[in-house]
Amino acid sequence: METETSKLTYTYKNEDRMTEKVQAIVENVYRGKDVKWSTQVLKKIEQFESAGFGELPVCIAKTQYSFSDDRTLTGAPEQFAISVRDVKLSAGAGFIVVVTGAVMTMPGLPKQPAAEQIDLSDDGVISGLF
Amino acid sequence: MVPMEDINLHFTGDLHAIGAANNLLAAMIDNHIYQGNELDIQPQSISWKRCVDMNDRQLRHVVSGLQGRTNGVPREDGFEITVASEIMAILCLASDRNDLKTRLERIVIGFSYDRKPVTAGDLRAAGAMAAILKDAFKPNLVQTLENNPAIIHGGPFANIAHGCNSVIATKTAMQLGDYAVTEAGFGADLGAEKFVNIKCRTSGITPAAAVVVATVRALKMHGGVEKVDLDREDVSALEQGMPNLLRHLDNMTHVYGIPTVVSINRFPTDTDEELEKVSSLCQHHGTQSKYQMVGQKEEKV
Repeated sequence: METETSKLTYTYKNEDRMTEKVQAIVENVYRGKDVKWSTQVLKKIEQFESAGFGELPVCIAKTQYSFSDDRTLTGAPEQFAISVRDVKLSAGAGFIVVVTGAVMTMPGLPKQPAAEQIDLSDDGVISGLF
Repeated sequence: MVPMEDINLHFTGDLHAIGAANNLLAAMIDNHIYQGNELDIQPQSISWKRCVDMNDRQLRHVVSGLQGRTNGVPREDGFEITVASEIMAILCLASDRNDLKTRLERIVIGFSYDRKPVTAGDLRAAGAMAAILKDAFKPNLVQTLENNPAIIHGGPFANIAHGCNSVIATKTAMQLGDYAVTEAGFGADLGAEKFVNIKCRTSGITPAAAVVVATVRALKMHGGVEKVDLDREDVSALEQGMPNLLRHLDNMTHVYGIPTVVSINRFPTDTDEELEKVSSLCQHHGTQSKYQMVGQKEEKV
């Protein structure tokens, strides 16, 4: 380990098409097979590319529970397809957000919110945060 | 990390500042339309959402500007959680104040009727947004429970955003310490992918090595064990879950080209046999691993 040197490798090039960038991540990192694009999403990508944002990297929103976009596919699944639900332009940050599966940028609270365990004592001590 | 309560609540108010800068832009968009819409913004094309630091599904889709002419122009609107705001990503990727302002100016809020992008710069909002972010843009120094200095700055989640702390914090740590360690949220598919393809690409940072943190409990879940049964020893389920860890390792070393070690966060319920199994399978794969005892707390899955 001490003798190994880092040969940092990007997964795609800036000049690759937006769809190719996502395909490269799905194939080489997630180890899935296909990406499903809706006509509406492809239209938006075309709009971003023709407005001059085609060279931006992609930021994929995906569940953390699986390599796929289906949280129940645990382990090391293969041959799956990723469904792109939406794409958003973040020109200031400098990437295109690609939303997959059921991931939400506004989550909801679970059945038993952690807030039910948090309290403040009479002498000002907070409990139940961890 | 201490001070833990502060870090988990309002801390130095950075998140509130990010929310305020985000919502200032939202208010200026709707005000611009209300005041005559000189930029010809098509309301249905507005992608800039309001945000709040609260998991509140009720706000995902709302109709705003109701109740007549003096109360705004009605349109379909929505909220994001603050950590998913583009302002959070901008704060984390900007290299200095000048770059912060340039990035804020570049934000595309939507399109005009003739399909041209409309920016925060066009709305003359970027200066005031930068002013709101003045102090939030500075990294926050805290310490670990073992008294090591640590910098906490920015927190875009890796499932819904780019998952890395600020470039400024990482570069500050690289200048101050002999070693700088930074976290990229979740696995090699989310945090590390975005660390490499977004943060390293943007900032020019090259990591010398990576540490993949694994737990016996998570690997057993990948092997099909239910959360309630995790306390019971199950070497065979662990073995079935191991391909998940090995794929993360393979991504780190072969796809991203970063030398990698595994750190196993040891829980009190882990047995020696289970820990040995993870170590030997990592070794077999060509990766070193180390155990590390953690407290009695439940892991965050």
